[in-house]
Amino acid sequence: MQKLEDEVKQVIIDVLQLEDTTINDIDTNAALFGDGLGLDSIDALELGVALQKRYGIALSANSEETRRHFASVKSLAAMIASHKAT
Amino acid sequence: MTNPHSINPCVVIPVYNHQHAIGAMVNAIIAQDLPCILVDDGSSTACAQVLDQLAEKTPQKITLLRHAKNFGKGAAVLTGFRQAAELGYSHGLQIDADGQHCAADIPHFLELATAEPNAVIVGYPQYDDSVPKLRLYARYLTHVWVWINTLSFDIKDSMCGFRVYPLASFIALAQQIKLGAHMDFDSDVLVRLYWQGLKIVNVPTHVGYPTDGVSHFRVVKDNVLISMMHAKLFFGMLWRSPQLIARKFKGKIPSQHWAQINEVTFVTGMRFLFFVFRYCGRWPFRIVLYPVLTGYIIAKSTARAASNNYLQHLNAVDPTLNIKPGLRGVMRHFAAFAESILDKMLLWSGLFNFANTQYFGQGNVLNNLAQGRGGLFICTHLGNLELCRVLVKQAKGLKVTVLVHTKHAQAFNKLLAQIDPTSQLNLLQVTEMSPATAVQLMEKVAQGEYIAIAGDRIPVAPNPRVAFAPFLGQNAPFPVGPYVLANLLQCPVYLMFSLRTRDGAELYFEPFREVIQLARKNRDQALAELVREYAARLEYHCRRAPLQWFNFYDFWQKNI
Repeated sequence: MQKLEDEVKQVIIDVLQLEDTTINDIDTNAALFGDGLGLDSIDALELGVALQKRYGIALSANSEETRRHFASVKSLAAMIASHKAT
Repeated sequence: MTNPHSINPCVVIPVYNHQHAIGAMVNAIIAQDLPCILVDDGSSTACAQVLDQLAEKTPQKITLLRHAKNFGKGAAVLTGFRQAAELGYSHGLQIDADGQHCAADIPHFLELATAEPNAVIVGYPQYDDSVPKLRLYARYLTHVWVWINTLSFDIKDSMCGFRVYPLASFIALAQQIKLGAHMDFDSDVLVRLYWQGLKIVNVPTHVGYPTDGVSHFRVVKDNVLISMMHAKLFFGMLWRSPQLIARKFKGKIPSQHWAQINEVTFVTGMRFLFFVFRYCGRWPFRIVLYPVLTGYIIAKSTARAASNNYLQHLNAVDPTLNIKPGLRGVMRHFAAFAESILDKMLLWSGLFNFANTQYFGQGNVLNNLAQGRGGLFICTHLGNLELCRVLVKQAKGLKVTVLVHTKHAQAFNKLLAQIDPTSQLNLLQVTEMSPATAVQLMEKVAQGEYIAIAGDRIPVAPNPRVAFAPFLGQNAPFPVGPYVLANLLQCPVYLMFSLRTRDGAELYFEPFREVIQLARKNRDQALAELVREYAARLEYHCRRAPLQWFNFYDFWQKNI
């Protein structure tokens, strides 16, 4: 799980061009949006596209579930892991 | 009439050779213990004998009047009502002799008349399958005319001859004016009573067309009469329109009005206009259009204000365009809108004349297309967006997916789908861009397809992302979605404008960016710059076709 979480952090850094950030700077449990990493809706879209391309997870329109998955690195990794398992 | 809370009704039946059906109808009325006036409108001897027998059987309930020759249904009803008024009845219930009306509904009609003694109670036919479709369409024409001539939808069916009149109002009207004597009578009376301020109560009632029933509708003669009546009423409406309009605002008649028309009703109206165009060309369409439009403008105060606001901006930026704000300008603006809707329907029905369509800058698109490169079109609600959709559908090898916010356009799309079922093929309904949709679009573009998205409509989302840019002299919010999407698609971006010209159309493909790259650090500035450029091009085309601006909401809103 740790490995997957680090992978997700690296995707976030790459996609969002967080140049001065390393995977150690991102708190696995912190909120991605708002106060935490400070991502916005455009970031979410870009991130979602990148994750879909890499892991084949389909993030459908505007569902509460998608919002929950995007809460933190931990929740994103958990979702990807459960997708891989099926 | 002594007690204001009760009415004293009398049934009136115009009869003309209905000897087979009239007996059952009269029996049903007698069974309800109602007085009844039969008006024999010059029937044959066979029918006259049946009527005589009926009257002799129940003289205390039935009064038989007779026209020496056939004067028409309207004349017969008038004779009956005059007699009823003289006999002291307060209300006249009119019902057809041929048995198509449901006598069992009479008590309900009378209850409603008792509740509103000054209103006209009118049957609103609920047809079963026995009614020929053509007949329904023909009726629809009359409905629309009545809506126009009353500037309202208060009268649902003006042709149904099953109704209750307050006799005082009816007789007063008949003394003022010569009412239609034939099949034009029913609509004529109702529209005129409406003009006089009477409330109309529509009552659903079952109507059948018994195959053995006798209808005396004379196809040519009565249709001509009915058309003439509508035309006469139309001019009557024109000079009464200020009163009719004023009445809405005074709330003298507290019932459904233009203000409550939903988009679906508007589309129903447009469907009728389309029908008119198909068979008569553009001019009758315009004659029908303007009164409809007047009503629409009256009803849609938001759209009206938005139009005026736009015209003010336009006039401030370029007075030489000579389009002044105010009622006349707004009328012209809405007329252009209605004509664009007609164009859209013509486009999808294959009736639009493409001979005079001019293309600008399509070479670049075609070159890319030949190389299998997809792209993004950013469009606008200036001009005729539908033109793009139809033209690209015709262009070989060009596949375009149009992103639409359904909430705005559902009813209209439904109409288009009825005209041409393939019109929906390249529409993708998106309220909020999800990663899944974005990936789907990226795949399309990778396969050499095109995506079209409007650059001047803010999405229907809780907190839409916008950037402000000057447009016609004031900052207006524009969506950033198209550029965010372009950043994902990494493909050539074009601005697309389609304008209506006097006898054709112009279609512009303007290369905008080879590719859009949004760096996260200065993303907001980059988006603002893109939006500014889009707004500038939009303003350029807007000033060339100023009345083709079809964003009827507060475009310069400050709070998003």
